[in-house]
This record gives sequence, structure tokens and C-alpha cells, in this order.
Amino acid sequence: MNRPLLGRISSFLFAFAAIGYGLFFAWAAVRFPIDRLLPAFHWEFALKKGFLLFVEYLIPLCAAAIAVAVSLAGSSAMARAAGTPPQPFSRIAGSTIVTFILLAVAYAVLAEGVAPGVRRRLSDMEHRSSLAREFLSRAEKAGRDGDWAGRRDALALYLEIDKGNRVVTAQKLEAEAEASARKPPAPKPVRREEPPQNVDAASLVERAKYYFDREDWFSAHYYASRAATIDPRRKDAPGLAAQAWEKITGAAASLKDRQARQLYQEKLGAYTLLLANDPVAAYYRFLELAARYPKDPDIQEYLAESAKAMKGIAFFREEIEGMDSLPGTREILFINANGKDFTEAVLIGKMVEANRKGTYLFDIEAVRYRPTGEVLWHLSAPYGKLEATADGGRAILLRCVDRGDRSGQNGPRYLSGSRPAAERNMLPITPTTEELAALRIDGGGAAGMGLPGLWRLRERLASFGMQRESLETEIVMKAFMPLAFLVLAFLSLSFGWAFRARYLGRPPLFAILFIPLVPVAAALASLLYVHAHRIVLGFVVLAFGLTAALIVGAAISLVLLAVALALTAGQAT
Amino acid sequence: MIPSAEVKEPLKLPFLFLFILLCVLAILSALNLLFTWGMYESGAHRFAFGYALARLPRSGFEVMLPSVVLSLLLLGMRMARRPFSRFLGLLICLAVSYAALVNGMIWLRALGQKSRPPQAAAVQYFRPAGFTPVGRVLLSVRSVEGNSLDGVLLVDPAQKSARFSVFPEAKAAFSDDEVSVTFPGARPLRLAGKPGLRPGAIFEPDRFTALFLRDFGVLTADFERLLAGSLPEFFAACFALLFLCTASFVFLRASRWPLLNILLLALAVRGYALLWHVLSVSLAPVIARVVTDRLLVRMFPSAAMAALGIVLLLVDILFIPVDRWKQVEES
Repeated sequence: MNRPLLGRISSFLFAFAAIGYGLFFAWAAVRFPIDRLLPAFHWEFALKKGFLLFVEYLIPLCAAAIAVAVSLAGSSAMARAAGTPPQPFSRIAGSTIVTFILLAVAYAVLAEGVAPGVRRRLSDMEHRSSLAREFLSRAEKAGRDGDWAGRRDALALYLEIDKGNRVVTAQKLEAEAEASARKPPAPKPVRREEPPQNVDAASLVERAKYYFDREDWFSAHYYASRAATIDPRRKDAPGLAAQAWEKITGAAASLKDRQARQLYQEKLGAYTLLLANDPVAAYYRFLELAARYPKDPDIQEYLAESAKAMKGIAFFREEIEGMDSLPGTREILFINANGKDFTEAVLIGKMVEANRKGTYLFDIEAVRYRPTGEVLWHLSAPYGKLEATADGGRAILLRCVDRGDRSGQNGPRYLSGSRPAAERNMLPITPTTEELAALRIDGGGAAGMGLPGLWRLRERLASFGMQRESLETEIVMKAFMPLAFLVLAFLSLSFGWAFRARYLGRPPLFAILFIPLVPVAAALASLLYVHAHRIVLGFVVLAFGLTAALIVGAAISLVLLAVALALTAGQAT
Repeated sequence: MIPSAEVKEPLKLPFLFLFILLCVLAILSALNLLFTWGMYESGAHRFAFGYALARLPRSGFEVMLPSVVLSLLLLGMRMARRPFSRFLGLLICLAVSYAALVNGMIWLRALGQKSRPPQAAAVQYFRPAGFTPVGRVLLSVRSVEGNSLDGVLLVDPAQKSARFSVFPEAKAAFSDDEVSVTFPGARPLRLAGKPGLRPGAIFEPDRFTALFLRDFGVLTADFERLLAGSLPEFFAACFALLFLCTASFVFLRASRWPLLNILLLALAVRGYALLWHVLSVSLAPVIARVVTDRLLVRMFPSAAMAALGIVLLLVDILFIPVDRWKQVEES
């Protein structure tokens, strides 16, 4: 009995896919890069790497499966009932053609939808492994130095990555016990409540009047000044601020108690810093005052106000704690600005996108230089936070401050040159977070992107220093791979049928043993076919541009598809 | 009486081979031409018909050998479908392919010598406002003129700090597979490395295709060296390779499953290119130590190919039934 061709092809496709994935999985498991990844990632790596290899070689696998299935179908076809007329091949293969089209769609979904995410996950795994090893060596060093709390913290960070590691868990428990035996537990830091935000000018003036009536001159001046800044057209706000300022300066002289006068002067000094747009200095001044006068409501209020005013200028260190152990994009390099008089380049060691908290950057370096090679400025900063600017752009805040310790500040270090004081702690950048993720030095960012993303960002990515032509070639190749899949599937169908086996029954063991060689030969042929495509399309991109390449690619694919279909239809019964 | 089909097919075979060869040669030459322009010349000048015409003989020469081998394979496929006497087939294939390869390489080389070989220029690799990898560092330039680079930013991601360095100018130089950049100044700096260069990213083959192209590249380069050095050695090498390829038609009769036979033949031919690479490059120093005669050292890969061909021929004579093809046809 002749099994329907589609059924035979389907079972061979399934068998080849299952065996192929199994082999790729085994290969990835055996070739696990123990020097780059934690043993905890072994099986996940094997699953994901195996999947990527499977997608990479899916075309030859399918081509081989189809060719073998069809070529072996011939032997059973000959055993049809005597007197039955042979069916035309085109009729036998009708439903198979529809299946090939569906398979090509499935291939496109796997290659462009699923594989980029898996690739990113593998890259994250590698980075997290290197971090975990760094935490482990940090813990070992802390242990040697007798810093048990430090050892405990480093091991805790390690366990965030390698959760099930029993040895390290035991080491952490031991470090915890040692740390608690040697030092009393530190009081938990009390989080200060952030003041309310986003108040319009009219309500600020109302608030200023309210405080003015109650003789709270600082608050009245502060809110009136803010109202004047928000809406310069208001005439009442500057007047109210001037009146309040007069009262503030007059009030110092009226105080008779020396201590009260000194406190007042100190508050005024800190307040002046806040007004002078130096909220970080004001914050630390108010923090010192709050430590000495914890019950003073003015100090508490302006401590909160300065913390609020710091937003957009600096960020708190606690925000980035633990962030470097999270997965992120590494080694980002781009041309930030390329003007007639200067070029600006930025290199970022790592970017972590923590959805609710924001986007944090590590190990930042930037340089601006003239065409003559003269460096205008060159800065480096250990941490940064990506913030939206008032004009709708983006900037990296380079100043990181400690909530309770003035000495715990990190800011940009200017290796040469400098920038105006107002700009020193901030670096405006052009790319968005999505674009930054694509600008990896190793090109993995763009390679890991799907076709829609690559198409949308191609112009912008090229302006940041990526090679436009290679991006465009990648786009054209990605667009035509499903068609290449289809063409090779049809060619395999006709090739398999043209050279079908001459066995009257099941093929002998010798032939079955050699079947694994078929995918190897199919891989050789299909990879050469894809490379020839790459040469033609790469040439058209270089010579005539992306649009021409898309037209040529479509034309070539259609011609080859027509040839493949004609060969399929022209096969003998 | 001999059936007419058996008489006609051997007569058709040389013409068929030449037709296949011309088609394959045209396709591969065109691909080689597009690749060469894109890889080495696209930065310096636009693609023009004159350039294509001048470059075509050289491209033809560079793909002549793989074209002949591929044509033999395709002819093998034809012979698998319409079999006739194996020795007659072997003789016809060997004679026609040998004549085509020897003449093709000699004439195309002579014609190709008139065209200017592709010369690497800085503009090909360093485009303003882009990053070009050179070894483990990256360079970005403001402008390029000849091999002079102006306003050069050097990025060394492996450094712990100060990963950017800026230089007013630099000079680029190119060798076969390396680019070197020299930064003048009080403390001159020279960088050299494998160029992970711009066109390289466009035409970069996957790892298996890269090995395939490497092996056939070595084969063609060795044949060109023999052709330039000594014609008898070149003739011998051509004969050895084609003898092995035609003797490999034994694979076409290995089973009664033509698809498997053809794929085995294709893999075998791929293996021969790898074997040549191993003998000519990887094992060359060992062979040079063991074999003292210089002629033998030069001809060692050819001799190995011929020996392997004889083994395959013996296998064909001794183990493959004479009527295997007849069985296939009858079945």
C-alpha cells in the first residue's frame, strides 16, 4: 500500500527534527563552556544553545528529511495494486506544497520571533556567570580579611544568580553566624518619605500665601520662587518671594538667643544652596542639620525638598545596589554626536533595564574631540542613570550620591578637559534604550534583533556608527530566508523524487546506516546556496542600496521558486 | 545489437559536460566578480561594466577548478539517471574535464593577468563616523584620504580605564589577511590585526562555507603556483585531481538508491578538497622534513590524490558488480 506522500514526509520531518534537536542538545551539553558559564546553567544552556543550532540548521535538516522521504516513497509507490494507473506526481505532491508554505511560516516565526530572545538569554547567562564568579572572589577576599559581613553580602549576591548552590548557601550561613557573633546588628535605615511632586504655579502661590500668613517665611519664599520659575508670567509670585526674603533676612537680626541665631543662619545657608541650584550640597547641609536638630520641621521639610530637587541632577546609590547582578546589555559603543566641529563617542560597560526603577548604566566613558584630534573633554563615571530630559530627549545622570554619607558620592571624573558646571554631571545622549541595546560592540545586539526591529531602527543605528550596509544586508537576508526555505524544500522534493530508491521493499541496513550523511550533504549544498544569496544581495546593497536589494531579492526568489515548482511539477509519475 | 540509447549517451556526454561547465562557470564567475568588487573595490569606485569586463577572466580563473569539479558532479547525477559502461564513462569524463581544466586555467590566467589585481585601500574599510574593528580594538575616523586617516578615535574595550584615545592622524597598510595602522608621534604606536572589516561583515560566510571556500581557495592557489612554476607538474596535478574525482563515480554505484549515491559522491569531493588542504598546508612542514626531494614535496598532494583514485578504481573493479547499473535500471 502506498502511504500518502504528505504522511511520509511529515513523519520524516518529525524524525529528522527530533533527532537533529537531540543531537544539537547533546552537542551543546558536551561542549558546555565551563570557563564562561556556571555549572548551574548547564542544562539550560544545552536546551537554548541546542535550540539555536537547530534553528540555524533547520533548512538543511528539512531539505534532507524531504529528500529522503520522497526518494524512499518511490519504492513503495511501485508496489501499487496491479492495473491501477500511476497518479501524476503533481497530484501526489499537491497537499505537500501547502504544508511547505506553512513550514516556511513556522521557520520565519522560529528564526525571527523566538531565536532572538533565546540568544539574548544566552548572552545574559554568560554575563551573570562572570558576575557570580566576581562575587565569589569578592567573598573569598572578604573572608581572608575577616570581613564576615562583606563575605555574607557577596555570597548573598552570588546566590541571587545561582540560587540552588548548597555549598555557597552553607558558606553564607556560616558567614552570617560569624558576622552576627562579631558585631551587633545595625539598625535598619529609616526611609524618609519623599515630598509630593508636580504642583502647578497657581497652587504653589496659594501655598506660599498660606505659609506667609502663618509667618513661615522660608516656605513662603520657597514656594513663591518655584511658582515664579514655573510660570514667569505671574507677577504675584516674585513679589511674594521678595517679601518673604525680606522677612527671612530681617528675622535673623531679631533673634536674641545666640544658638537660635546660629541655627537660623545655618538653615539660611543651606536654603541659599538649594536656591542656587545646588541641591546636592543643600541636601547634605540639611542632613547635617537634621542630625543635630531632628525635631526642627523646617529642616525636615527642606531635606525632603532638596532630595526632590536632586532628581534630574543625581540619583541615590541605593537605587543601583544589586543592579549589577541583573542581566543587561554589555559593551555598548556609539557615536553620540557628529558635528562639523566635533565628534562625541560614548562607551557603556553595561546597561540594566529595571522596568519600574529605571535604566541604570555602569562603567561609562565619553569623549568629545575635534577633527584635528584635539580632545575637548574626556570623562569616565562608574555609574549612571538614564533620565528623560525636559526637551523630550535623554541624558545620563553621572552623579551618584549616598543618602546618608557625603563622602559616598560618585561623580564623573574628567580625564582631560572639562564642561560647564551645570553640565558636568549629565551627559545628553541620542539613542533610546532600545537602540542602546542594539549598539553592542560585538554586533550581537543587532544580530539578535528580529526583522521588524532591524527595519525600524536601521537609519538611526547607522547614524550611531553601525555599518549601514551590513545592517541592510542582514535585513534583506532575514527577509528572504523563509523563501530560501521554500525553494530548497521544493528542490529537495523534486531531487528526492528524481533519484528515488530502486528497492522493491524496505532499504537494506547499509543504506539506512548512511542516512545520517544526507543532512550533512544537504547542509553543504544549502549553506552554499544561502551564501550565494548573500553575495548577490550584499553586492546590490553596496552598489544600489536597500530598495534595489529588496527588489532583486524578490525577483531572484520568485525565479528560483518558479524553477523549483516547475521541476517539482515536471517529475515523472 | 547494442541499444541505441547506450550509444547516444556517451556521445552526448562531452557536449553535455561543456554545456554544464559553461553554465556553472558563468554563475560562479559572476559571484566571484560581485564578491571581489564588494569586498575590495566598492569603497574606491562604483561598479561599472568596464570593471566587470576587465575582471571577468581573473574571476573565471579563480573559479575554474571548482567549476570543473562541480560540473563533474552534475554529470555524475546525469549518469546516475542514465547509466552506461562505467569505464567508458570514466574515460570520457576524465578526458573532457582534463582538457577543460588545463586549457581553461592556462588561457584564463593569461587573460586575467592583464586585469589589475584588487588592491586594499583604507577607504574600503574605514568609513567616517563608523567603527571598524582591527584585531581587538576599534577605530573610528573623521576622514580618509588614500591610506591616511584623520581624526582617529581608538577604542580599546579591554582596558580598565581610559578606553578612548584620540590621534590627529594615522597611516593604514594592508597585507593578505591583516591590516596595520601606525600612529605617528612622540611615542609611535602600531596596531595590527585581522580585519573584522566592513565588507567582511556583509559577505561573511558561515563557518562550514568558510572552510569550504578556504579549501578550494588553497587548491586553486596551489594549482596556480604549479602553473606558474612548471607546466608538467601542473598537468600532473590536474590529472591526479580529476582522476580521483572520476574514479569516485564508484560511489554512484554504491547502492540502488541514487540519492544516497550522489550525496556520497558530493561529500567525497568535499573531502578531497579538505585532504588537499591538510596535505598542502597543515602537514606540509612534516612532509618537507620526511621527504627530502623538493619535487616530491611539491607533488605530494597530487600523488596522494592519484593513489586514492587508483584505490577507488580497484574497489570499483573488484567489489562493485558490473551489472549494478543494469540492476538499477531493471528494478
